[in-house]
Amino acid sequence: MNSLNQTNVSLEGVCKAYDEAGIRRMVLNQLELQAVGGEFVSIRGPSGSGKSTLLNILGGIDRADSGRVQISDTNLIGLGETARTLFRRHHIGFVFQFFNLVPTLTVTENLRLPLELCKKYQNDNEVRLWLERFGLEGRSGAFPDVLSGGEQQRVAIIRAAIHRPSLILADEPTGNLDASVSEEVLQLLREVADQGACVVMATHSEEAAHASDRRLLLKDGQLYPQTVF
Amino acid sequence: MTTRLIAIALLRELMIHPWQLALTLFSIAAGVSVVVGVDIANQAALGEFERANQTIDGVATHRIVGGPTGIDERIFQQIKVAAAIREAAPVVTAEVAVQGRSGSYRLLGIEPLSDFRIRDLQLSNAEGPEQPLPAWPLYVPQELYDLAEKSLVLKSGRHIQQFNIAGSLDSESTQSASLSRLLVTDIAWAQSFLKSGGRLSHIELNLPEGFDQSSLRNQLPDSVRLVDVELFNNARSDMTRAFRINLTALSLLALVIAMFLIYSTVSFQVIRRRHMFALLRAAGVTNQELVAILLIEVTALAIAGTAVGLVLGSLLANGLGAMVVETINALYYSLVEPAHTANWSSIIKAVLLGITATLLASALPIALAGRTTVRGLLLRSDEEKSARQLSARALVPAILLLALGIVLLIVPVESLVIAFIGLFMLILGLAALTPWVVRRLCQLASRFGGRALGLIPKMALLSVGAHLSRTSIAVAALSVAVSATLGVGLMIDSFRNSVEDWLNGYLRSDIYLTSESVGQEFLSPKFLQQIQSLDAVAYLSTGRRHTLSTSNVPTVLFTLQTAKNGFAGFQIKQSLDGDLWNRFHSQEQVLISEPLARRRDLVPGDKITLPTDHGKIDFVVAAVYYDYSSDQGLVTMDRNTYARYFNDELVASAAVKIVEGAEVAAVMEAVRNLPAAPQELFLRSNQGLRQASLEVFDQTFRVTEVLRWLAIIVAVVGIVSALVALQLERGREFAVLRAVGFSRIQLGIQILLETGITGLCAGLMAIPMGVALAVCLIKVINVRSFGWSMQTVIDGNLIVQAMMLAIVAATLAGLYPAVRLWRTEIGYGLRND
Repeated sequence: MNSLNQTNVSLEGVCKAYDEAGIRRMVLNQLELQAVGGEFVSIRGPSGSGKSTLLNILGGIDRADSGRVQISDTNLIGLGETARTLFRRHHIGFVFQFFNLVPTLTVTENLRLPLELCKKYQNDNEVRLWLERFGLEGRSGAFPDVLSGGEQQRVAIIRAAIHRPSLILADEPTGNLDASVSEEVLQLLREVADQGACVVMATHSEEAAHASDRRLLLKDGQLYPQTVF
Repeated sequence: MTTRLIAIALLRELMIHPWQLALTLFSIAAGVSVVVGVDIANQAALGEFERANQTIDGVATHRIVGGPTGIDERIFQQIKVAAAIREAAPVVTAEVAVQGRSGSYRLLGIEPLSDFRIRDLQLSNAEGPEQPLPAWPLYVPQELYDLAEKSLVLKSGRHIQQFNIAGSLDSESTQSASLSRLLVTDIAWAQSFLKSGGRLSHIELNLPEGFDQSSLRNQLPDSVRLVDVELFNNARSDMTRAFRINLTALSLLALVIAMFLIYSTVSFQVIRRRHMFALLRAAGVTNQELVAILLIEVTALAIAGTAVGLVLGSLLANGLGAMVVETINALYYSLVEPAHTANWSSIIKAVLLGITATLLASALPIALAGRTTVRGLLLRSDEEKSARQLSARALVPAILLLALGIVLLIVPVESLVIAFIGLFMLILGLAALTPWVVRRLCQLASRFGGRALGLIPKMALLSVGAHLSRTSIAVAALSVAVSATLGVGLMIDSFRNSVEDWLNGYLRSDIYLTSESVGQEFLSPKFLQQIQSLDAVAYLSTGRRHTLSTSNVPTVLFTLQTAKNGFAGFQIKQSLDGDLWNRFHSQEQVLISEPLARRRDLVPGDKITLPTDHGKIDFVVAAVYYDYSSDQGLVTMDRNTYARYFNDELVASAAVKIVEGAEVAAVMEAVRNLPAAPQELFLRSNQGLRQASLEVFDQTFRVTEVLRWLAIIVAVVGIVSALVALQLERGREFAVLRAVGFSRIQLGIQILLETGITGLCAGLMAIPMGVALAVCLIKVINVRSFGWSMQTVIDGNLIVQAMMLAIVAATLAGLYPAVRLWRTEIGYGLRND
């Protein structure tokens, strides 16, 4: 398996607010974050603390109101919608709590999708290697709805990593899984990080956070090292 | 490659919901089929009109015509010899019946040596080209010839004659259906049969370019005119223009309703697949790529739907075509029903319309899908928020459309197309208001109904408002369709009322009589005298209606001899001051009907020029009167005036006013038994004629009724499908409600209430829309199309029917989901989101 690209993630003074019923609520307030390739960072926080918003801003899905979101050489703040999408296509992989595989594509087709989008698809050999590596070789032609939760999340992790992005964002990846499967999923994220990608995971779970290299807490719109509390 | 994979994902998703796919195809196909059906029917009628003209007129550029009794045949010799016109052919023609065959035929009496220069009729002799023709020879269409009969008995008016079949006829240059109703004989035999010796119906001429027409005109007596055939035929074709535009507009209404449904189904598919779009977008698919794929998908659907629509439209054209020809025959001119096959022009129009309408209707949902952010796509609440914003944002354009529509409708121009554009803007404006109105209605009902409503109705009201992102367009489509049916229904009802009122005033006599036969037949002076001498007869009115041919629009002249009491039947719209009867009866002034006044822009006091047997004469218009018998309009002239300008003493119809106390049936019997009564006298009582007139009226609106119901079917299928789709999608929501304690009955009631309320809202919107439509149709479209003004009658029954239609259609949509819910276990519902 080839190593993933080395990258630096740098968030400086990031602010994001939402209008909720006419009241402006500051979700991220002068948030700072530094991470490097190969690092597995976990972010904890109560519901509504802004974990998903932070991941969306990192992934270019949302745009910060102000600040700097630097991933390697690119500041996402300055990019338009299409440029952010193209950046995401090549440099970012997403893992969601509810797996979010494309339901009408088979496992193999789901995994081919990011490769084809990045024009890196040549044949199914690479897909097969990943499936074998993650113990899914017998499920290549299956549609997502016949897979177990653990299997779906493993496919989702492969899909996020297969095109070798710099940054993998995982939003509550174990939130819908039992303990043993969660452990397996975290192990896989660990492996992806070990191969050079920066993994940023939002989670409620303290156990999940323990699998990471660095634990951060999102509170009042800012990140604090977990050890402070 | 990438696109292919995404397309596969989306296509498989579509195939999971085949009924939605089918609905989209149905919407496109339905819209296209109605437009194609009407277009083929219109084109076929128009094409047949042209082919029939080509068959009958041949290469004739001009025609010499006379008054009601035709022209003297010596004029033919005069122009052939003195004017040295080589290509001239005399014609004697009449409508005839063939004994044992239904329908009427056109008998053409020609002079073969002249005629071959004008027409390319191929006359094949049965006995071979060298054999002499039998007496009373007749060339018949192949279909009749194949029956291998030796002779046919022809009837025209009182004239009956057995003709011997001499051969078959065909035409190389045209394949007109009129050939199947054409009979040809030698001109002398035709004159002999019609007892019109020395008279011709007209003379066909093929004048070379640059021919000095004024010199020819100068050589002709005052009683005849030189008519440009092309102009004449164009004028006749224009007679049906308004009728054809009205049909096209109705078919376009079905297309607009179909567009609403296409919008609705494409929106539904976009909304339903938002999660998948979000996944694709999160994976790096750009908005542009997503939009491109959706456009490809919609275009493929458009092509498939259009193909189905073309097939359905061709089938529909057969039914509609017969009705179109029937109406043209009843209102305008005689036309043989042609084959209704799709032509390239109709196919190209259908393909362009189908694809353009689908792309236009899909543009907004696809654009919205493309513009939404990944975050927004992942949130369902955002869908409803955007639907709310959209319905609010649509308010201003809706009001602008309404305003512009009203301006276009009231702007004082005569253009029918502008009026229809205004009408369509009005419909679209009202439709755009629908989502906002439905939301407000539900909010108000739930707020003010409060506790009185109870939990289930209140939940149903809130739910209708909350799911507008999926239902609003279907509701708007239903509103438009129901309003269209209400509007057209109110218009027909108002029209019928006006015609009934007019007939009540106009038909003042008790008995109406004509000769019941195909062809010209007249009532003899002796017979009329005998009627007049009956004790039970108070007074007798006589009439004669014929068309004065000119190069412009033909003018129908109705000559009337009546008593002052009979004259009072005219319902006058505008008139000159003074005694109108005196002006009409003694001062050679004429009355003109309302449509003619509008078409020629004439008012009382103006002059109308009529071609008489003494040349062109200007007649003063004494009054404009209401008349619904012809949308081309007519000139009514007193018989005495007519006698001074036309060498024609014939009477075609008569009306008898009986004395008080006399029995209509007894007088009818007495008239029938008069010695001079024609063999085939047709008598109708006042009531009978009224009834027959209304039957003709109803017949002319059959095609409108069919198109109106087609629009309704399209909309009802649309609303049923949209609501069924919505309810089925909420399986998990209902399972949750069951889990917290709702009974199956409660949820079933809630579903039916929701769909019923949706129908109620659509119906409520449809009422003002329908009434507005009716007013536009009555006050603008009908006046500009046909020149008839009429009273507006708002029939409460029609409004109730329209409302019931909307509610029942929508409530029906709730039945299947309610039954399905009844059968579904809670656990299954919770597992299967």
